[in-house]
Amino acid sequence: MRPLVTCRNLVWHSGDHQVLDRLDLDLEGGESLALLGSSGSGKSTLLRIIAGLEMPERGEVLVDGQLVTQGARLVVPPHRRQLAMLFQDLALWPNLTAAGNVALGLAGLRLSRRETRTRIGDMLAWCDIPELANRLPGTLSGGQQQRVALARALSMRPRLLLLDEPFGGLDLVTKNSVIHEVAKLKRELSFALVLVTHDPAEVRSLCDSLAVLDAGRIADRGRLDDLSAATLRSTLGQAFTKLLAHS
Amino acid sequence: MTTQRPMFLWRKAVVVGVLAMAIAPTIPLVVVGVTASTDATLWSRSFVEALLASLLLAASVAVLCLAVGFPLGLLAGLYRFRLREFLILLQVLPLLLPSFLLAIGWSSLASLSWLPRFFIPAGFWGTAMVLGMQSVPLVFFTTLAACRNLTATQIDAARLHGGEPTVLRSSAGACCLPAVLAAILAGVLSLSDPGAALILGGRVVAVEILTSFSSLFDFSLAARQCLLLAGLVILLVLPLLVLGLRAFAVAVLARQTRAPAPYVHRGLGRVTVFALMAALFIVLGIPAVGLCLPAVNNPMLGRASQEIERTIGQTIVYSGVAALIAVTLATGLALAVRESVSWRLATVGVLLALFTLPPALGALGVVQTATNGPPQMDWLTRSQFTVSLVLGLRFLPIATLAMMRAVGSLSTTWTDAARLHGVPAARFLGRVILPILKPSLLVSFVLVVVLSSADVTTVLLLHPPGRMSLPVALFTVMANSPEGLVASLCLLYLGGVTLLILVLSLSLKWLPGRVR
Repeated sequence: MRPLVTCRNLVWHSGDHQVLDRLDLDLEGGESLALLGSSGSGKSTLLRIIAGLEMPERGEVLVDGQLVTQGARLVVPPHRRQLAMLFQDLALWPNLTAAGNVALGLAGLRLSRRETRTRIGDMLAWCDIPELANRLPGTLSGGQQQRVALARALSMRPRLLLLDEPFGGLDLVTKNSVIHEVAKLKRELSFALVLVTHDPAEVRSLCDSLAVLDAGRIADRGRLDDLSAATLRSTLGQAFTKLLAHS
Repeated sequence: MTTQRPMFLWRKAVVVGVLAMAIAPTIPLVVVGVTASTDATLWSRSFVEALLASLLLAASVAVLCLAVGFPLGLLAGLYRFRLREFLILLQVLPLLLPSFLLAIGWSSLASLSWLPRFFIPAGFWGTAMVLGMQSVPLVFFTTLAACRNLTATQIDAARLHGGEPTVLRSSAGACCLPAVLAAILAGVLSLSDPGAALILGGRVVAVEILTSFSSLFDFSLAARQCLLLAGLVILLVLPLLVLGLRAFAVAVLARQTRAPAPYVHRGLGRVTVFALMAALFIVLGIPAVGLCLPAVNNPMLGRASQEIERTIGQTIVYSGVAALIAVTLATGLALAVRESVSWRLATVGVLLALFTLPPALGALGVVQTATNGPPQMDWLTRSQFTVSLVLGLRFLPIATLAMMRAVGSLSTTWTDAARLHGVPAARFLGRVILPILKPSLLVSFVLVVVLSSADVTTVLLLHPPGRMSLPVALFTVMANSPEGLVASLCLLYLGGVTLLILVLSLSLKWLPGRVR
């Protein structure tokens, strides 16, 4: 089967520091991958390169077999890649209501007014926040903001959802509730996801496979059920697997 | 991980285009200055003396406004006190008035026979005192902005470590470089301001240039004098920009950090209130009393109102269009350089260097173009629009700094999200960016309106016949009109600007969003 996303030979520098060093990664359709790595290892950068928000110096990215990025050349713009992203700070547009955020998020799809209204209603209902439609992000709690960001991201009906540590600022109860919401939506809408995180509980609840980014490459990669500390090469992978076993 | 993104070509085109526009008015004069001949000797004794006096004046102004503005800005930035927002807002007033207006107020005190003479500023030191105190807000607001860019945790750590002395010491250390640069900028700007020196009898180079053009009608001499002054300014400013621009930009432009909340300290809060009120009293209160004396003795409010009625419409047109031009270009510039630190620094550097040049340089350049240009170009070189355009370009640096600060506080992930969702750029600008920037746009607009309303040099040199602005009318009548009329006009002007600033502060409370 053809992978949903293929990254080949990606190279990226931050100043003098080589962050990605000929990195290769495949992601299957419907897969839920946890991406681990120490701070500054390039996890967020990799997500941004897949999304088309950042260009690598070398290498290529394919989505569903189609070349979308080749070196520093953007072949397919971000909004045509059938993917969405939940940012660390959620990136909600603060002057628009929850419905306004979803509506503007649909601008690239060129839907009719009626279709847009229906899609907004559906997404807010799916994310369990129909009553928040007219509220501004600043007036919402952290968990409610997460749901609005999720509704906006999923309104594009993406085949891949990229999550860049979006649950960091939430308390335990809210975090659990939002994670279960994402898991439920993933089952219903059957999209693939890549989650950047350091939290074993998030990985256990949302992901079925794991990749460890170390020294600019994927050091370890496999299904969660098959991984054990003994089979992993990276220190971080080994430590994380132990934590995962205890969680 | 933060990265510096590459600049798109259209962004570079916007920056280069706008900066070229800002530089353009000065170019004809450079050509004339280099090629034209003049009968009068440029290096006349009086001009050299005026030049040396101007340099001493600039140094005095810088020292005075730093000595007053820096501690005031630091205290106001760090501590909470009664009427904080109101008192901070009022500090901007002196900067928005023509310098001759305050000088008239001070010189009017001479009519009080019981007042010791040394109390009334006159001559060189009087000019330095008036210009220095008028420049205090420049250092005050730079320090305040630098204080707001310190992180809350930095201040908390200093407070836990050694209490208020450590907070003040560490904050002073972090904010002093931009404050010093602002003070030097104030000093350099005073080189080109003839207003106060004309009233108080200081012999400075800006007065010499005005005399060459308006009294001797020697355009070529004025052009050469202006160019010499501009060269001197560039010599003074360039090394400073090279050495201190990065620190200045970091301090003055917004960063996405949690700003320190003003701290409640009873003693220091009271000291700050007292110091702010004392500064206002000295800069505005005393000259206002001086203006009231002739206005009370010989009230000519009727004639003053007529004069205002005659010129206010023109003043609003000049300054309104100038503000529109400046804010539009500034917003374009700020958005274009948003993602590139090096382009942002270069833009701030070029604009600051331009701002320090004498305003007469651009205005005389346009006069030169109008003289030699075809009549078809009159709409651009001899019209009311010309005055607005040159004023707008003159105050572009101020508007750009304000807009860069506002744009710098926007999250870059908002744009990333828009790109991911394929939101068209124009729609994103109209629905998200501009509404969020609305308060800052309003502040920049009003700032440029007030600054260009107060400008004398540009309007004096460029206005079409019979189309004076209020300050130019004031400047023209002050030599040969009754004191009561001049004082009444000045008082009405002062009242108008104060009212405008108060209305602005109230309207900002009604607008969603915030001004950093």
